[in-house]
Amino acid sequence: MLERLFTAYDIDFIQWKALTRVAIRLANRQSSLRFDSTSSRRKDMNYSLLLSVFIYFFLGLVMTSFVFKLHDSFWSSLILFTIVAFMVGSLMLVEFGTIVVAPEDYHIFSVQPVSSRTYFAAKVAFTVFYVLIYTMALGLPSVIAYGLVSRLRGEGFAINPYQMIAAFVGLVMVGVGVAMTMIVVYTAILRYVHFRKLKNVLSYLQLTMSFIIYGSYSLLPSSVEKVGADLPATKPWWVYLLPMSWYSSFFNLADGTLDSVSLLAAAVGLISFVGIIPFALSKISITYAESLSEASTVPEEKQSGQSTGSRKVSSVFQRDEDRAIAMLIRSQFKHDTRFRLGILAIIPLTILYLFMGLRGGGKLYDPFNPDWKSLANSALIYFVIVLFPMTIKEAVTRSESYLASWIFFVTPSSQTRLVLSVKKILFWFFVVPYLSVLALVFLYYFRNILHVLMHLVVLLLFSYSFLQVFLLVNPQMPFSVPRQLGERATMLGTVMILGPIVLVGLLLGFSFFVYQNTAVYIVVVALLVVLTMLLEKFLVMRISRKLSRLEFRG
Amino acid sequence: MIETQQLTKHYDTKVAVVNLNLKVSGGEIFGFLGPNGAGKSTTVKILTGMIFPSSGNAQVAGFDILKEPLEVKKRIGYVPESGALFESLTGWEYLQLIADLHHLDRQIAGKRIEEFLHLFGLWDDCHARLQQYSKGMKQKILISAALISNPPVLFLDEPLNGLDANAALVFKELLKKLSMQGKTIFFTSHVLEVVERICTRIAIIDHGGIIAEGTAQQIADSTGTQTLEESFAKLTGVRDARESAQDFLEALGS
Repeated sequence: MLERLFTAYDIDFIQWKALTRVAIRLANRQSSLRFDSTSSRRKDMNYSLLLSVFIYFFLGLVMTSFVFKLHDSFWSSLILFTIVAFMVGSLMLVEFGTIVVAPEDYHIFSVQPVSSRTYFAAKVAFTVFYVLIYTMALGLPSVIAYGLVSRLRGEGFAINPYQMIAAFVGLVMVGVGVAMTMIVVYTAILRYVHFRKLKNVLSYLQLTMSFIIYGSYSLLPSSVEKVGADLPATKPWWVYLLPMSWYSSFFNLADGTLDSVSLLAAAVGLISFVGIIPFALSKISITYAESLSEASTVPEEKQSGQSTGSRKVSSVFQRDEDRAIAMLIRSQFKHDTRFRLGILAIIPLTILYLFMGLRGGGKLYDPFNPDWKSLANSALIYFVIVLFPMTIKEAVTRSESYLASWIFFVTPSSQTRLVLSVKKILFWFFVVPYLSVLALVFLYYFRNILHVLMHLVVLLLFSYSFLQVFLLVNPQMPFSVPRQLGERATMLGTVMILGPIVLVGLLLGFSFFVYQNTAVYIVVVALLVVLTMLLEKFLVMRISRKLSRLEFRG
Repeated sequence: MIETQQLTKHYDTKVAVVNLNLKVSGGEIFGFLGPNGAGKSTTVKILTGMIFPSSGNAQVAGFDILKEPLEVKKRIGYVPESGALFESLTGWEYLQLIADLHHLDRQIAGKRIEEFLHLFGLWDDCHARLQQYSKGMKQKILISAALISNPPVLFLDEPLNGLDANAALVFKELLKKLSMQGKTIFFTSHVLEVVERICTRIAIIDHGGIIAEGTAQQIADSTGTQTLEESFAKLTGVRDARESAQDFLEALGS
């Protein structure tokens, strides 16, 4: 039956199966080589993917609070589905962006007798497979919660299967529907925009979406808490303009509270979902192959000579390794969109966290006059100090150009120095400018230049130590490790969970025990300096030891 | 088997191939030579359906490359110069993928894969990922993938890249035998001695157009030289080789 359906859409079933199987296999495998042919298959797993799924599951557990706090399933599911929609949209852009624009695939498949429609159908199947994994990781805890919640509200313990089914079906439709819509939009744009420009545009769109999704994670729980009791039982008409509300209307069906408006909304949701799939398959693939082939073969415009910026950056450093790495990082920042975005992603997050930190009464946590309320609000501003070194360190390590890193393994320069150069450049070019901006913010709020300076010294030492620790944990040559599906989601998720805990602990300790006494402050800062120096020595030893065993990944 | 009429390709203002007219028959090993950037790879990409010509026509294995590209692709095997492979797959998996895309019966495919892997000495590594393969081993996989569907037309872009001497010897003999079976082989290489030895006819392309065509002897005669290498240098060399080498040495000494 499936084969007949595929034939009706001019899709070769056998080829589709082969392509889909390979796509899943490739994504599930480690992109780096850490095993040999005799080792077990378990080692062949993409652990980044597993970890990111676990992180989404953890976030999904947090999101069950909506189900328990809001008594109306329509409203709670509207929030849940909206977050899922943003999550899928963001994933599609950051992880699956290469699905539609994949010149690598093209070099292999373009000479095989595969129609663009079959190729595309395989890509769609692969996308749906992964989107459903993430959607379920995020939504499954809420699906279970919906099954339990009505009974937990005082009607004794029993499972409500109808609510669970409504939540499950809604989740699947939202996840898959958003993915399909993204693909339709993506390929429609590809017809008119050169794929390199499209990649840039979509990357910035992804940046904005990350901003929204992480913002929604942080803002929604407190907002729900505030308005929870005020949400109207009768839904205003405008709510049905939100596509996610169509799927929330399934809950009215499950509860038996279906009126004409929610029935219409549920029907629109169902029709949109069923309609988008054949639309995607029939409209998208026609010019896809042509656009892709042109896009992947048209040479990029040549740029001649070394820019003055490059010369300036290089001349700042005395050591050869520092100059080489500075030039490389600058060049990658200029030309590698993903690297640039990895760095720039910190800007919307910083603005978001600053906004969130200041919205509770407009007071920034002053560690010299600590109070609990402003600490809770401002913790996110400090959290960026952990996030920043980790983000940029990862961005500098993982690259699509990792094959070019052979140069580090054959040149007579010191590998240890090369890695240390990365730290130095990241610190001076990224961390210090960020802290300078933060200094201005502190100055505005603290109104005490001495407090700002004292606080900045500590933050500088913290940032530097974090950078040292990240390098200690996993010393790597710059741009030498291949990128892997799920790695960015994993990193951000880990930092979002661990970052605030570490930072709030440190800030509290410093606020109450260090900043209150100048003598203690001087001793602790001196100790921190000594610690940093010891870490540096240890770092050099460890890097030298680790790098002596490090092999080229290509 | 391969025929082009006024084939032209340009990228914006840059012209890669201009009014190319070629005719390669079954049983021929056609050597296609040219300096870097002359238009060789662009021609091969058009003939294999990877890119579309700006104007002109091309037929491969009796099918128009623009009107029936899938029919062409069913009948060709291609060894790309880029060596692009899915490196997370094993050698066996990659060949199985290509066999599936050509609708080869699983049993036949399995047998062919096994034989190719044995012949190329890759059997012991067939379940290791391609990432672990050496350049030569990857090239053997690419050659196996091109041959697995037993196509009537083969496009080989630097097929000897990375092959060890024994494998290269076997491969060259294989090409001769395949041409004797009537297969058309479009052979691109910078190793002129090999081209001279195995190709039945040669064309030299420069700046997107054919500048010489015939057997190695005919080209040498027409340029008043002794070997194909000398003919190539005379036709396409912008500077005297000895002079250039001397300039390099002087640059090193500065």
